[in-house]
Amino acid sequence: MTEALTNYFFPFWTLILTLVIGVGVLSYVPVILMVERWGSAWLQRRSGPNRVGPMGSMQPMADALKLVFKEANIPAQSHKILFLLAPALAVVPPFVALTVIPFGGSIHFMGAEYPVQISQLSVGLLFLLGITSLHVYSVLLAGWASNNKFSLMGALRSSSQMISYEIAIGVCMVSLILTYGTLDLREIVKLQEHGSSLPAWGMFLQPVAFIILWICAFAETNRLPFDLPEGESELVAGYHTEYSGLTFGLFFMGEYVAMGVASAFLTTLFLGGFNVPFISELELRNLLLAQNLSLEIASLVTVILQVLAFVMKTGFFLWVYVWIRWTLPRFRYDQLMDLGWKVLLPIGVLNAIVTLGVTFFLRNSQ
Amino acid sequence: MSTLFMMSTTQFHIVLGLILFSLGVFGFLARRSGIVALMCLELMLNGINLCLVSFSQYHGNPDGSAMILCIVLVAAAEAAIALSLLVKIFRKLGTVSLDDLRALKG
Amino acid sequence: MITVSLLQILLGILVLTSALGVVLSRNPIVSAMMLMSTLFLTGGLYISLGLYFIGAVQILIYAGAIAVLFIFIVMLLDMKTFKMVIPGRKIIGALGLVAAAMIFASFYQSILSGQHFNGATSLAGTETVNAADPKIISLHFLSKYMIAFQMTGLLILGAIMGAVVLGKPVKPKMAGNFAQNTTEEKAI
Repeated sequence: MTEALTNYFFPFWTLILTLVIGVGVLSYVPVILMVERWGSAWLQRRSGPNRVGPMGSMQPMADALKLVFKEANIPAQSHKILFLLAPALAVVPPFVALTVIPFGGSIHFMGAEYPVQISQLSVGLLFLLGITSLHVYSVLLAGWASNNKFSLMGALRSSSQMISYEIAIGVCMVSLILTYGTLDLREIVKLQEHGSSLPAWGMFLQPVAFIILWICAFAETNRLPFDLPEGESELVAGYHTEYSGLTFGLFFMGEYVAMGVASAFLTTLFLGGFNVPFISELELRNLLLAQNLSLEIASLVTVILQVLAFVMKTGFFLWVYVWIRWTLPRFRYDQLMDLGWKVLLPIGVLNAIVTLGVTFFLRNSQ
Repeated sequence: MSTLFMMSTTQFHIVLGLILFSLGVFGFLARRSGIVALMCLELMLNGINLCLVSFSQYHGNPDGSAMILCIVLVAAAEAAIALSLLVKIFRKLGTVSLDDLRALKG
Repeated sequence: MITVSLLQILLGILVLTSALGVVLSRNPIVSAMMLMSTLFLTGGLYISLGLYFIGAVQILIYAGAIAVLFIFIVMLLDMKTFKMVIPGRKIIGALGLVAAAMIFASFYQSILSGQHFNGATSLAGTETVNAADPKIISLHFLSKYMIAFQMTGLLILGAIMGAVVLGKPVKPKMAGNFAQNTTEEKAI
């Protein structure tokens, strides 16, 4: 790893990877929009968008054009700078969080290894948690700067919901760090490589933490059933009532990218990340090398397969996001806070203690 | 400007930490609102953290980093209590201006 | 000796600008946002020094929780733009400036005047060991700084209890003949 870092080509690799991942995420947004529209139509037994192009595939473009041409008006008495800062703060943290997620293994090129991860931070897990907690600012600023009672109420509800569920995430992190023993996301993925009958995925090592983190991921991205702050029939539109046009488009996009980041996060921690199930990276590469391919081509094909596996696993989580949105009703605010503080937090703490005991005994018996 | 680039990291961060600390002191003394005074308290703590970081790197010891973690946690606890007190004061007296809170004065 | 990089100088300038914003702005929300920016950029400064763990902890706790608490309180108290219309405000400001300058000068003189930090970056040589690894810090916390660790935990527990007690709404005592029926409130 250290030779790659002192390699002169490495900054270019980081730049190329940033551009590729950025463009990838930007083009994922129309796809997830289409999945949402068609998925909700299928779940509700009606036909989805079928006007705007073959099978409605131009619908996201029509949406984007509509948002661009709508008037993005700023309320008269609002604080203009903070009003315009809030959508920016909604979009930027999810993109920043993408820098530490490992999308694939390493590509070997001319004797050096280039990992498919923009930043190999040794404390990636903590960094991800920190960047997620910055998402609260966009909600607070949007509610405050709108100069609107409903927006403020929605903002306070939403932000208190988000910080309550962050605590449950933190407690689950404790049990995860105990299980994996490292904060580096790449190491965590590497530790989930092997497995005989079942893959050694985090899902089987820490089922309770998996379920708690999954529920908290819904709460953090303000998706149903934790949708009250955006409550379409309750608070006009919550904290983004006063936003229209491109400013609303930014909130919209930020929510979908945050959904994607949360799904990628869950995949990395619990579903084995970019590992192709039942086969480790080395075995895969050796398999390809045995076909008389060069090391570069073998590692490239390995990485492509791994990225495909990662995308499929993340896609599963995204589908569940859409599925649950159109299935479950919304939580009331006090039910929501009860769930976060009185159910998830004690279960998480109990899970951490049990994990501590099990890790201690396993380590002592070795 | 060339002296700026010629500084060692240790010196640079110590000076930065001291400037942050002094700015915090100035804000704490000059601003008359309770909340802004608390924010300047956090600024002071951050300045000290920066100095501790450079000392810790200078000696190659993790002592400074351990101290920084303790300072961060203590600052969190203190911010929570101080802000709760401020809310209570506001509810009772209707103001958080430090000039109006002089009931203990003779 | 390791000199400052351009990134660190840039981050330093931004940190100072944000700190000035905290101190000098009229709107308390803008002050709080500038505080968040200062804390976040200081975390960035730690990361640029190679202390990844401390930087991540700073972003997580300071910028992600404490500054949010500040913004919450400002919104709760619904403070409008604060106008400093107290008599003698210029004198108070000037005195504050003098005090801050004196503190800066005295600390600068005591820390940086000697031969200590002038040329060298580290006593241990030119290779600074990344001593802020989570593993090394945790080992120290569990052996050398055990007392500090436990006391900090107890302190946070006390702070939580204190904040809960301070935040309880005070029920006004009702005059009259009827008993204060608390069971009705719980039935909702």
